[in-house]
Amino acid sequence: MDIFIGLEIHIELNTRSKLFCSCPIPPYRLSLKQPNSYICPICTGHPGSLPSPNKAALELALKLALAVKASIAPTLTFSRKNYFYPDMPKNYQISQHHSLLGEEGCFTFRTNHQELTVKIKDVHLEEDTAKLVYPEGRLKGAKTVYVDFNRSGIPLLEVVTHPFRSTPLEGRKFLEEFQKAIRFLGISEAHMEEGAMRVDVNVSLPDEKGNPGRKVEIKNLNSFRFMEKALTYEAHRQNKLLSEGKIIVQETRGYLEKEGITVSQRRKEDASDYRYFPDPDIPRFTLKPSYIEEIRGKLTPLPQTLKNDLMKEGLREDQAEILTQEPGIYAFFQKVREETGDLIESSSWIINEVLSVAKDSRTFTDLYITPRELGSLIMKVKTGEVTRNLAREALKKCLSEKIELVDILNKEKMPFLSEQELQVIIHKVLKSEEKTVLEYLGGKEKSFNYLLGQVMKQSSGKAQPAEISRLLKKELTLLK
Amino acid sequence: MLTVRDIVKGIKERKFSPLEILDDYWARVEKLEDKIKAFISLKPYEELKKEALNLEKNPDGRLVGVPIAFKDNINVRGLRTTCASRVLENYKPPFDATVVELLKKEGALILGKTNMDEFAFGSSTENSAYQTTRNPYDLTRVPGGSSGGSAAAVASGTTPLAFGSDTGGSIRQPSAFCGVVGFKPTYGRVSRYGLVAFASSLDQIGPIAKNVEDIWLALSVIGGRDENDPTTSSCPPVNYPGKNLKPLVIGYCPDLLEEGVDAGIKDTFNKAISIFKGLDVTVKEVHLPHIKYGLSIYYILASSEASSNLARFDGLRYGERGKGENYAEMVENTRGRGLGKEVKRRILLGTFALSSGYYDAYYLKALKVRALIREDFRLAFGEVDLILMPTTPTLPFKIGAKAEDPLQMYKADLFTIPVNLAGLPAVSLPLSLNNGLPVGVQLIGRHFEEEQILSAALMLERERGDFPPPVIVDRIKNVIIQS
Amino acid sequence: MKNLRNLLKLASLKVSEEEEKILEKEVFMVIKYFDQLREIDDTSFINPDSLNFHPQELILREDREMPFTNRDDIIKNFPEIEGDYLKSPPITSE
Ligand SMILES: [Mg+2]
Ligand SMILES: [Zn+2]
Repeated sequence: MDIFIGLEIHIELNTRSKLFCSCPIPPYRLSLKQPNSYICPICTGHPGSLPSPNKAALELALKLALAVKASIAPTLTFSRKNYFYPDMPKNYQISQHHSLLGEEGCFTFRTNHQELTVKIKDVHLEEDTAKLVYPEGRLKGAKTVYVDFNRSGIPLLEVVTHPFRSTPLEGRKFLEEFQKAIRFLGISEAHMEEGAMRVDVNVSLPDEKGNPGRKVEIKNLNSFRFMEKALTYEAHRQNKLLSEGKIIVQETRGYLEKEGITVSQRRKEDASDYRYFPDPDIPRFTLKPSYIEEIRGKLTPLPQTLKNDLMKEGLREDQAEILTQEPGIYAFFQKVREETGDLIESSSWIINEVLSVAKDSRTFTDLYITPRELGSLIMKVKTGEVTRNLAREALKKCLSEKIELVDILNKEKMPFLSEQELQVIIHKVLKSEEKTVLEYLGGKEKSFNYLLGQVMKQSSGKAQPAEISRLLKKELTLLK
Repeated sequence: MLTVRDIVKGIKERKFSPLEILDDYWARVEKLEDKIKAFISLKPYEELKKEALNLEKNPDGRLVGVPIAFKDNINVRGLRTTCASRVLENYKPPFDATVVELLKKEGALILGKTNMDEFAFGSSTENSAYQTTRNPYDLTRVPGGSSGGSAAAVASGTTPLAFGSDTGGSIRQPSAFCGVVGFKPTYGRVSRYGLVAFASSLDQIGPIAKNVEDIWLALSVIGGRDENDPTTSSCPPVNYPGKNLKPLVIGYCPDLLEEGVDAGIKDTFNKAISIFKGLDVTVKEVHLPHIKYGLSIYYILASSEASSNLARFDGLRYGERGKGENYAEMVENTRGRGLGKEVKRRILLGTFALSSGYYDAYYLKALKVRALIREDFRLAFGEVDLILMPTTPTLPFKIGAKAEDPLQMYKADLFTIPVNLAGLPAVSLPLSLNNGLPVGVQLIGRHFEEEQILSAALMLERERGDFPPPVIVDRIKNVIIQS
Repeated sequence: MKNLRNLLKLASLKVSEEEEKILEKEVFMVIKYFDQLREIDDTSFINPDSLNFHPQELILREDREMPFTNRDDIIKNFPEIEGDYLKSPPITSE
């Protein structure tokens, strides 16, 4: 079913220190184990502390803004968003409001064999809040909430899309493709399950003119699957309401993962008034064209572009898709391709051999083979120095048992069988397969292949198929 | 009394030891503090003694052995920072302000923290939640504010050097009331890191001392670019000893003196003009057409920023936590009880000016007019090197006299506020006594031209001669405590 | 016009009824004084630089980690604590 989907995506940027202080960014697991350990007066809002904006955070944010072709603001300015909440150490969030880093861009990707373009409303920088922990669960009547400031002040990039018309599946696909782009740009790992990418979704049905109707916001969807499910549920719920002649209430709803439904969250008593104003602690930073060009020069192509390029060069869409799934896979593929100069072979070895064995296929980080080694293996197969079968098995052994490829090849690689040795095998086969030999001699051509296969098996890859075929034919002619 | 320069020189030449200096000032603290009530907290004597003995072994600093005091909104690790508010009654900051670090490095000895108007909101130090500081020249009068504790401490001689913060006059106005020299540096000259923010775009830390030379020395220590405060500038430091830059032309605005200015203030102001004329400095009229809006703009902008800056005092992470069944209730109670009346007033004003529907007409408009005031000064400084103004429109007033009328109280900063709005440096120098009460004049200079101001202030100071110290009289017992 | 109760709510301030009355009078008296700004015609003054009250440019901080060494001082200030967590009252109480 077609609905209107608008997303607000928050991405934790890959910097070493926080947005406004020099606290290290806590590694996710350590952060959970050691609450309030990566903190300082700035990210806990102590009186007298001041924000000092991080250069790298701006660079990463600009990268994304440029990658989605947004128009860049003439200056970087921060504004304060004022409201009281226990996860906000200053009771205001330093964000952008009066001038956003990037405005009006777009993001194009392929889904279901066609292109879909989502318009980006804006891209802006802000600080993350502290983490609230609910020891008794998020229940009504809970007596306490714990606050952990490890997350407080991590640079966040907020990306807001215009509502786009699509199915829930396409909506999910957009977010998946967007995550991929973020990883290729080196901006963030964007793990949803670790909260490094968080998403709020606005859902509305088309009205009679085809414009977005009244929207409902669904908060905190922490996986792609839940996002798609919540969208599907919400579309049905709204459709049902409309068909019953009821109206849709503009509100915020939460998604219950177990039940697979959305429920109305308590609305704020009065409309919030955030009293935005330019942060007087931070002077403006002019985004000079030369600076922007410098950052643009550091941009790497988006995976969506790389995929299209590979398709144009002759790969199937599914192959191109796999190779551009992860920056690690693509980089590996590129190097293998450089070694071999062979697109098709490089792609098929990686897709069919490496990915089927490599456990950590997602990032390709601790593969037990270098692209150079795989490249030279492929070259050996191409020149006939190693048979395809032997190469395959050696690669499998190398990846799964973590043994150097060179060692396997040296051990396994004996000289090719001599013609005499091969003749011995052929004689043995012709004897044991007498019945098939007779069938062949009787005119059943297909039986030749079976015999060929038997000889190959017994010579365990140490002979060239063409050579076997030649000798086998010779021997069979002798029997005629 | 020894100047800061004398103290440093004497210690370096081993004429006396840091401990002797400390004991001298400590004796004055013990004799006078319960009359003046300048300090909110004092470091224990034993600790100070240890520090003084250490300094004796290591007398390298440019301020070695100089006792100093900080307004209680400047963080010193190990001492409380209360901002004279109940909401921070037992708050101990986890870090030193940048100025504190710089001064410690030069061997200064921190005596304690001085009284102020709560969160620096006020012009009399009466808005302190803890105590009322007295004017050493008349204990029934206010010392001015909000850095009233620092000014009163220097005036009464319990410390030779103190530091305050100036958002709309909070160093210069109490300095004028207490007969001492107070300097508000160019915005961006001194790091605000560790100063509890009142209005971030206006606040500046500055020194208070008995003479211009000591101010000059202090400024040369505390200025400079600080990575922790992105609003600090990397322009060249104030040098000490610096160049003597005699001003060629000094400007003044005659229209400013027309209304609501005491006769005694006008007399002193005219005396300053004739001193400069006598020294062959050209004196000419300048016009600053928009500064009549200064008060409104200031109270809109400063309150707006303050309403946001003070939102963090919610009882959650530090300070005194109020009761409440839930977060919102706890915060409302913490703030309702922990913050004083003037603080609430300003927070509400600022909340109003920023709220939806009013932002354009109040906050944004004030920002625009602020730019006009800055432009007024820029044009004027095309014609003159310095601008001379009174520091205050009135003499020090009686304790309680203006407590009930916020607008009258706000007008005490009429001449100091425009300087903050334009981010300029300015000094207040005591020039005469009127009915036994000190009167100051203010010299305003171009951005980052502190040395020009200091040179002119030295000229005035030389012509004036020694300024009569306060005769501290206990009216209840009717005895002279110190002269 | 915004009323005082509204402002008190936004600013998270609880005051007694008596205090509320006094504040209402004083706050609106000062706001009325601000009306002097209305006489300034700012229609020609659409200067985007008016938001720039800082004359100098921002110098961005290099991205280097520097762990804060007095973390315990921050923890010691927590009014209520559970393990290493800061304890807060619940967000709503129903
Ligand atoms: Mg946001
Ligand atoms: Zn931090």
